[in-house]
Order: sequence, then C-alpha cells, then structure tokens
Amino acid sequence: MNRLLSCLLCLAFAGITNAANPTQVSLGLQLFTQEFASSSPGLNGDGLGPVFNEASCVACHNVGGVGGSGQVRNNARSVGMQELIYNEFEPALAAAEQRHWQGLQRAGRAGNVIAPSIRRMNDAVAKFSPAFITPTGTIGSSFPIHRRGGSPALVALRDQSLTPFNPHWNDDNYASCDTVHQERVPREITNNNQSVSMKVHVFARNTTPLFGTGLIDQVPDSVLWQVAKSQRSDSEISGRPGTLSDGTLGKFGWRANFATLRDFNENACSAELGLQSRRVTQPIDLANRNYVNPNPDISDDAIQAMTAFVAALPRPIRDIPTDSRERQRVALGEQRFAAIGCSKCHVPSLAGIQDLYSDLLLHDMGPYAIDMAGAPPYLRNVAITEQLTGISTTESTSSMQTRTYYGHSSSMVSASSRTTGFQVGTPTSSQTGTVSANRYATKLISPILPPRTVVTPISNRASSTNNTESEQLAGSEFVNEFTGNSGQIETKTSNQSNTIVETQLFLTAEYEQTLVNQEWKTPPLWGVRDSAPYMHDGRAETILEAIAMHDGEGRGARNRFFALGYEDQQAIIAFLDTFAAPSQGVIEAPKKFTRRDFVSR
Amino acid sequence: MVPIAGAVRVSVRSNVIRLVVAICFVGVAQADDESQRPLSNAADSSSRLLFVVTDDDFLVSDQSVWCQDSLQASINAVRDQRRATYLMMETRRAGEPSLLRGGRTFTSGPHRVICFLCDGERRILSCCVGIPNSRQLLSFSEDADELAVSMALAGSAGLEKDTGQDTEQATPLADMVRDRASNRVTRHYRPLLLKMNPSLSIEKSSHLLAEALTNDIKERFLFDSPIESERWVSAQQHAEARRHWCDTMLVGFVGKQVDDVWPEFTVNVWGALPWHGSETVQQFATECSETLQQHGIVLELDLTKRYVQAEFTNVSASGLSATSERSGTRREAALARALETAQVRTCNLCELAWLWKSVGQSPIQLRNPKTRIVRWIVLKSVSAEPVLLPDGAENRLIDLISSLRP
Repeated sequence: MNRLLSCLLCLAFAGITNAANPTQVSLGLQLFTQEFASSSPGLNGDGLGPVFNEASCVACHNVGGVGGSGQVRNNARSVGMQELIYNEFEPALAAAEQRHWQGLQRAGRAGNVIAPSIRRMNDAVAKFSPAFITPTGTIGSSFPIHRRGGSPALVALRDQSLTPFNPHWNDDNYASCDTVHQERVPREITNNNQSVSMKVHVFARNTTPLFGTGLIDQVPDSVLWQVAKSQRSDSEISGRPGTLSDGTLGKFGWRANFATLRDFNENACSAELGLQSRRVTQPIDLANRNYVNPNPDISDDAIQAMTAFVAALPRPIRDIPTDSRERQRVALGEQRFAAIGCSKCHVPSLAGIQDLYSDLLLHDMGPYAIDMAGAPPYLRNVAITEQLTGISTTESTSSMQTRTYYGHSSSMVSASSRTTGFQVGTPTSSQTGTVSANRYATKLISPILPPRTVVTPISNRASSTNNTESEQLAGSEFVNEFTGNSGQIETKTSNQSNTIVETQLFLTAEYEQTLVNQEWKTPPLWGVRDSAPYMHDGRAETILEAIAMHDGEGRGARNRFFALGYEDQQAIIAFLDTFAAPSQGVIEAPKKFTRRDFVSR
Repeated sequence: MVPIAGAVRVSVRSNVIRLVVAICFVGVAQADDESQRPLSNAADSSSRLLFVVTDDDFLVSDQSVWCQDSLQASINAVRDQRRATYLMMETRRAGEPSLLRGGRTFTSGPHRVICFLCDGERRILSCCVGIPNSRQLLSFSEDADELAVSMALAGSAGLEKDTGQDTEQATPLADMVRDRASNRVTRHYRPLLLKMNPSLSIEKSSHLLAEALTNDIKERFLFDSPIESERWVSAQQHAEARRHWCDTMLVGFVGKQVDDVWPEFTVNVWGALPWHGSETVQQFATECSETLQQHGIVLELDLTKRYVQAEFTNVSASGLSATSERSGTRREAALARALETAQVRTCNLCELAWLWKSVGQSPIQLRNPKTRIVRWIVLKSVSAEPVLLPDGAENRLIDLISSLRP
C-alpha cells in the first residue's frame, strides 16, 4: 500500500488530480483497492454483500492499471426475459375467477388483490426465478445475478434455474452474444393445468475503464443536447441523451444511466460489492427477502473520497508512432475514420475534451446488441404546469434509491398492448390475458416503449410567505431545452385572506419511442488499445471484431469500413491503436489481475 | 512460385526447449550479420517459408502480389525483433486471369489471400487466411518454432519423422497442435478438435467445421446468412477472422507438404478452385499449340468445376452433363457426327487460360451480361480470331466445324 500511496502522491502533486484534495484521493485509493469482507472493520452495516460480483473495485477495474477496464471473466450478469407465454388449460375456472375479480375491481373493492390469473402466472414464473416478480407484483423483464455471495438456498435456486437452459452462463469467457445468437430456445415449465414458456437470456456487462472520467463528469448537459440536435438531420444516426428522471442527462454507464461520477460510483458500490450507502440500497438475497441491512455500509465521505480518486485518474493518451511511415498510416487512418462516418458518433472532441471520441449519446446498435436492462426512456418533451395543491398533499418520497444499476428494468406487457406503452405499478389489464375455448392464454413481452406521459411534482414547499420566490430546480438545463426558460423557475406561494394557498409546479413528461434494449452509449475511444475486450459485454476481443459488430445506427459506417481496401482498414486500426491507457500517474494493478493478451494471436 | 523476399531472422520463444535451440543457433546468427541471406539456406532447420496464395491473375509472371507491401511490412517487423531463423516468402498467384475477362484486371470485390508458414522442407507448421500483421506473424513464427523443435527432437531420438502422412492414428505433431488449439479456439471448435485427424481429407475436415465456422463468425463479425458476402471476404483479409478455424484445421495437415495441401485448402476457403498452371495444364496447352500449327481445333469448355469469381457459379453441373450426352434430337445427332470429324478437346478454364497465354491470343470475354456463357470455342489457327459459341448455337458450330476441314 505504501507503494501505491507514493504513486498517488506523485500523481496528485504532478497536477494530474485536477486540484483534488490529496488526502481525499488517498483515502479513495485505499477504498478502491480494499478487499471488503462481510464484516469489514469501519463499516457500520453488513459489509460486503449479501450478494456481490467482486470484493473490491480493483478486482474488475484493472486492465491497464488501477481504474482500467475489466476482462470478460469479470463481466456482471443479468437475466432478461424477452417473451413470456402463459397458458391455463382450465379456461372455465380461469374465466370465472377473472370475472369475479373484475367485478370487485369495478366495485372498487379489489384493493391490492392481484387478479387470480396473474397470481398463478406469477407463481409459475417464480418457480423459474422469484426475482422476475417485482415488489408491486408485476413481472419484470430483467434482474441481475451476482456471481458471489448469497445464501445456499439462493445459490441452489440460481443454479437450478439457469444452468439447465444455459450451462455456460457462469463461464469465465461468457459474453451475451453466446445466447443472443445461439440459444433462442424458450424455457418451458409445464404443470397439469398450466404452462409457462419464457424466452430468457443471460446477459453480460463488461467493466468500463475509468481513466479520464473526471473530465467527462464536467461535460455540461447542454453540450449533449447540442450534439443530439446536430445529429437529428443525419440520415443514419440519431443519438439521444440518456434522459434521467431527475431531469439530468446520463454520462456514465453503458446505458448512460448515471449523470455524475459520484452517482455512478455509489451505485457501483451497491450493485457490484453489495455496499449500501445512505442513498442506495444494496441488492437483496432473494432467498432471504426480509433481511434488512441495519446501517449503511459506506459513508457519504467514503463515496466522496472514492469519487475524488476516480476523478483524479489521468486521462488516456495518444501514443503516436515515431516511425514516419507509421505516422503517415495513422494520419491516413484518422482521415478514413472520419470519411466513412465513424466520427459522427465517435466525436473527436467534446466540450473541450480532446481525443475523447464519443458523443456520450445513446444509439441503437441493432438487435444482436439486445439486453433487457435497457437505456433510460427518452424524455423528449416536458411542460411545466402550475396546480393548486394545498399543503403537504404530495407524499414525501423516500431518500433511498432503488435505481437499477445495469439499466432500466421494465414490467413485461401484453403483446397486444405493445404499441400503447406499459404500466408501472400494480398489475393491470396489461398483464392479463384472453380466454379462449380451451385455454386462458397470456403473452407478455419486454416492452420497447417507455411510458408515454408521466406527471410528477418537481417542487413542493411547505412554508408560506407573501414574497414570490425563485429557485433553481435540479436539472433546469434539461427543462430549458424544451421550455426556453432562462434557468430560473418560479414556485409561487401566497397568503390570501389568512388562508395559506400553495401552488405547485408539475413536470409533464412525454417520452419518445426508442429501442431502449438496443441503445448503448457511444463508448469513448480514448485508451481503446488497452481496454480490450470491447462492446458492452466484452464480446469483441479485437478492434476489428468490434467494428464488425456495429449494427443499427452503426451499420452504415461498418459497411463502409469493410468496403475499404485492406490498407485503409489497417490504417484505421493503426489510428485506433494510438489511443492508449495513460502511462504516467497510473498505479499498477495487483499482479493477479494481469491482462490476458487478446490480440497477440 | 518464386521466393522473393530475403531471409528474415526469427528467434524462438523463451520456453526451456526453445531456449536450448536458440542457444544452438547463436553461432549462426553471429556468423552472419546481414539481414538478407541466400536462398540456398532454405533447407536449414532454422529457416521458414511463408507460402502465400493470392487471387492475383495466375498468368502474370510478376512476382509481387496485391498484398505484397503489407506482407513485407510484417516480415520486416519480425526481422527487426527476432533472430536466429530465416524467413522467406514464396508467392503463388491463383486468381482468375484477365485473359478470360476481356483483358479487364481484377477490380470487383475484395482480394483474397492465404498464408502457410512452413519449415525449410516445405512442411506446414502454421497457416492463416488473410494477411498476418507483424504481431500475428511473430506469433505464427513462434508456434512454428515450437513444432519444428518437436520434429527435430523426434528425429534425433531416432523416431520416424513425423511427416503428417495419412494415418488412422493421430500423429504426435497433430496432438501437439490440438492441445495448443484447445486453449485458443472458441467453444464452437473445441469439441471438434478431437475429430480433426491427419487421415481426414481437408474437404471432410472443412465440412465438419462448417457449422462451427458459421456460428463463430456470426458471433464475432455479426454476419447474417448467407455468410459468403463481400463483407466476409473483406474480413478474411485479416488473419484474425478465421484464426480459430485455421487453428482447428491445422491439426489435419500439420507437417504435410504445402504443395500437396494448398490447392485443396484454397478450394475450401474460397469456395472455388484456385487457378494454377500444373503440369497437366501446361501439357494440354503444348499439345493444343502443336495441333494448331496444322489445323484448327474445337474447345469444349468444362464448366462443372468452379473457379474463382462468381461469374461461373451459376452453371449447373447436372445441366451441362445432360447436354454433353447429346442424345435425342436430330440436331444433337448432327452435332455428334460433326464433332467426330473435328479435333475436339475438352478443357477447363485453367487449361484454356494457359493455352491462351501460350499461343498469345487476345483476351476474350467468356460471359457478358447480355449473353449466355461460352460453351464452345473454335480456333482455326494460332493467329486466327477465335469464335465463341454459347450453348444452343449447335448449328453454327456444325457449320464452323465443316469449315475447319482441310
């Protein structure tokens, strides 16, 4: 550790740390490299787990040094359901029960009672994995599976449900494409009077490199909107920002689902290590659902320190060859890279960050890049309305987040309601089926459409005053994009005839249809040479493979690449090979994490 | 066919066995500081031959091939890094000749290339489809060294030289390649490695691996069916595209003579026969040339075999054989009688191209978009304008044959 600290101090005093507090960075490094345990000293909660992927951050982030990308064997996994077909073969009974329940519902007496058919369907799905059943009783489309930790009952359940249909799911070299291409066979569970057929895949997610993320954290949302706007007229690509529910734009994570580096780190601590913070809950052991962590495992200060360390990681470099012929080849590659349209998404410079080669926007990458933990729904339009609410009419929301780290998990919807969106919350008619002569049949699919319109309060003030106040709302830049306001949004509270009247602003959000399960944030190409494997699940071992796997919006550029002559193709690869991990200020990862050489053969 | 690159020194890796070998070679390296070496050293145990098959026009005697610069750059890079072994390059042009394309040079679609790395006795030690970059060529050289050492050790131990000849039993060399490949290839190929055997023909091996290859490249290069698209051909210019397939296939022919292997291997990679001037091809041209000194001949094209390029792929073999039976109609009977009186030679496209080159004929176009493919060629003399006739032009052919009679 002494060696690491000295490296760090060099790094800090060399000015690479972006004026970070060296003490904080030092603490962050310790936390980043610390191997946590279920009873780590200094942690108030239950420590590591109960379920987790690795015991330390560096266990995954180690390719090219501490904070680098990760290998395929460190991939996180999730289970996603594309389709569910449920049949009951006693339709008369099912219909009678359904009518009874609908009667209760019409009379307003159904309360929280779940429709009988849904209950039975949920029970059947839960036999495969109870994790598909959301707390509100709907069937979700995706849930993470952690490779380590968990009670023996959970491990048994996991192996029992996953291994029979995909024996490779926990292989060291597992990438999602293994299933997406090969194993589209539905899993079927059949009882005497019901059958469930599910198209389920195990998806993988590769570790992203963290070098230079401190700079990305400083990219203003307005820049992302600007780039997205510039792409609207393009015939091939249509990048869009990862619009988050709090009005900010995502810049981190494969799905652009975290706006700040701190958010990303905090959620990673929870999702990957099972370290609960004050704001983010830890994943639960499904076989022990009632367990509650008594205290946060990691403090706000610790999160802040870890964020300071990650932000202080140096940015990747360009390793331009000294040989003049090679330099010419690299220059040619750069020219070809732009000419065939790669640089439309892999934007060379963004918000003053040179050689980033990303627009940080989400793009459809085609059907083979599917993963049911989708991108955040595209919030395309917002309107602010003012309503009379009285005092404290809005329920205060919990400060604990349950945001899904790997992406947006949707509730499965009826195939027939595919184009009308899906409902969030208690089970509704969108998950009920149809009764035919011989069976009660339901077909649910993972939705491609997010909710169309959502109305949420954006400000709630309990105090009263005669003065008109102004306040800066979170994510006001985002609001301004649509409303044209100058950044100040008024919340008015007035006292009239001794009666306190409060008005509240509401944000009415309209979402646009996008293929959320196929959308991925353009990964920055800086450091690409030293961050293999590539693509969201590490399915591409080499740059050439990664290029070949561009589909959807990337299809045109990919085809143009392969239409080039061999020398031009090689020139582009040589150009990309100049984007290297930082050579100075990087702390070498512990020896056991040495990088597998993917490209030597 | 002609060794064109100079000697390149390639060293061995740092495992124990090869270290011993490297020490043995120190003397050689010190004795010769020049980067180029005479070809007479080819048979030296430390020499390697990079045997390159391309789809350049096989009739052009130019030594360079379309990927000459790239290959040379890789060789030079290896030369800078490795010592103790000599690497030569021999190229084999096996592509469609411009003589049969109306003189047009090859321009449509991406070019193809296959490389075999052999020892000084032309025994295959490694292979790849596409151009190996410097790192890959280095890796191939190291693999080759490993196998060469094994062969040398087996020889010095008094064992029969492992020549990779057909045998029901897997050879130690094949076992070694199989073991090595099992740690490299993807799960699609791994179970099939056990089925790879030197006794299997390349065609059978290729057939066994067909599904694995399809799945492999679908995953790694995102191909939809049909796989044989222009993009796939382009991807195969990079050695990594088929590397798992090659590693698996190598089990079946490691140690065999490259001259015996390359034509069949090429057929299975390109999906078409490579063009080459074998002895029989040359003999055919000589015989026809001599005949043409005295009287004209009729060439009947055998298009049942696919050669490089898709222009001839629509020709149905069954359809052609039915026509060649010439049974039934009166016209066919007349044609049969006419053919009996003429000098008719059946030839494939390769033989035709070689003949055309030998007699110095002008380029011909065997097929253009508006007409059917040529079936008959009537040549009155070496210098006469050839008459090209498609299927269905039997009456014209009969007339021409009668005009050939002295």
